[in-house]
Amino acid sequence: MSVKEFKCPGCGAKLKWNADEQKMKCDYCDNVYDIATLEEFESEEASNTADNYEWTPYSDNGEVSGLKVYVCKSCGGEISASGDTAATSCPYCDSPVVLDNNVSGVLKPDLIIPFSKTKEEAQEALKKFCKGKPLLPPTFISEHHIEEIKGLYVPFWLYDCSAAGKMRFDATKVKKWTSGDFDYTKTEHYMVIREGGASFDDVPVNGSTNMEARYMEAIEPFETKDGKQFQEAYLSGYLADKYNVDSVEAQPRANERVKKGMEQLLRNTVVGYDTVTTQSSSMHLETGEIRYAMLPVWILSTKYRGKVYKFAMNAQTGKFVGELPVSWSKFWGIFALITGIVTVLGTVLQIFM
Amino acid sequence: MKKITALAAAAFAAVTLTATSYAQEAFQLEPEAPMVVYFNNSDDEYIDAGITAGEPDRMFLENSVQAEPEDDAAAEDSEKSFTAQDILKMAGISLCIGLVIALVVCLIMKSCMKTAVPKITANDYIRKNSFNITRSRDIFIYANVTKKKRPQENKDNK
Repeated sequence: MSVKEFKCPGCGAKLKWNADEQKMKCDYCDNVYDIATLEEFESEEASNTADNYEWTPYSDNGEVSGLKVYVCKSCGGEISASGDTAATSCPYCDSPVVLDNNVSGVLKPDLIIPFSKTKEEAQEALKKFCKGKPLLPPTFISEHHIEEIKGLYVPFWLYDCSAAGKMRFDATKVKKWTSGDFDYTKTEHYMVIREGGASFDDVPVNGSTNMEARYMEAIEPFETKDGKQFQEAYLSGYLADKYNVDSVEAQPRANERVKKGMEQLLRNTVVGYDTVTTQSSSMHLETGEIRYAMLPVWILSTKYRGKVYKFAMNAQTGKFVGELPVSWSKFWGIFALITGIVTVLGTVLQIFM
Repeated sequence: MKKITALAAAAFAAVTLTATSYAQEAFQLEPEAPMVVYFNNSDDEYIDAGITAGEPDRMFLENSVQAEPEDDAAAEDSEKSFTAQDILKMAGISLCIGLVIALVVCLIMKSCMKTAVPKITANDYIRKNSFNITRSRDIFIYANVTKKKRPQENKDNK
């Protein structure tokens, strides 16, 4: 017959029954535990499960006909456009593109969000973006020129799912008091368990490697409830990128974002402790559905002193992101100015206060 | 920009106040030298020490007579006199604080130049009111108590 052994949750040493206290006691750290608490602790330790993501495989809606496809000689990106739209340069790398007549069809999206923001609004957004940036080179506004502004439908995979998460935390409450000549600190250790669920609708993952994912995520969120059923007419006047990352390849990014989201939600429910450390986290996704969508983006590229700077605007909401050049002379100038002011004021205040 | 200015101002105020209190502790003046007063024994006139040097019949008082301060402001001024070395130390502390604040402010400004950053979570896409907690347990495991002897206050410093 085997005898069940308990280990001390505090130090890991073997626990012994203490007849005086009628509890299990650790000879090394002197902590005492109820049997019920130990059993619950051990069952929770043993119940950690691996993440589980169940997605329904994507079934496509056929192909769109009547599109031209441009192939970029430089980055290899394939850009689709309706018959009345001409692409002269690649929206990603700004290189000239050539028309390829031997093209396969373009996958018909389940959803399309039409452009709400105009080209002029994108230009205005760039001007606004440059305002209030003390580190912007003084000549950037006058010297940079917008190479081209392109309205582009970027392929996205949209993931719907119900997520169930379980997290276990080590938490402590610290109490301090003074008695006689001693300062006392009491640290109470808790095992905190949270299980919960949430539903996520249309988590987007960029389906093209041509556009950097960080740009596409930075212009989120997209309001997919305002999306329309795909019609070729929406493509008129705009370019459309072909996806080169399929729904299976894009899944890990959706899983990661959903898991991090659930972790944040569950962590926010652990309150009233002085320290909280995550011990384990597991996620289970159910009824995951995938849709293919084309989402509207204005891509702006500007050249300044031989270098290309890219910007992107969510053509539905107007959110504008990008990277601006940094003037290092301004950086160090402001650095020296702040240092000088703080040094003088700090010294004067120390003398007179 | 407003955020950066507010952050810099708050950091400056907090750090300067801390540094001021630190500096005031660090640069406390040496205890004053014992007061020496010379009296002319013959006519009790208050006379200059240089003139009276070498005179045998003078009463020498040390630490026994306290002269009345002329006024409180003058006394405070004499307490707050700093040497050049003290001021250099204060400037050194302020310079270090200034370098840290300037670096933080400049790095914040630099981060504003690059807004194309990936999203961490998918919480923009949570269905409204769909988040629910199905199990919430807070299990007390154990507690430990540590005690530390308080440092004895020096009675001489009271």
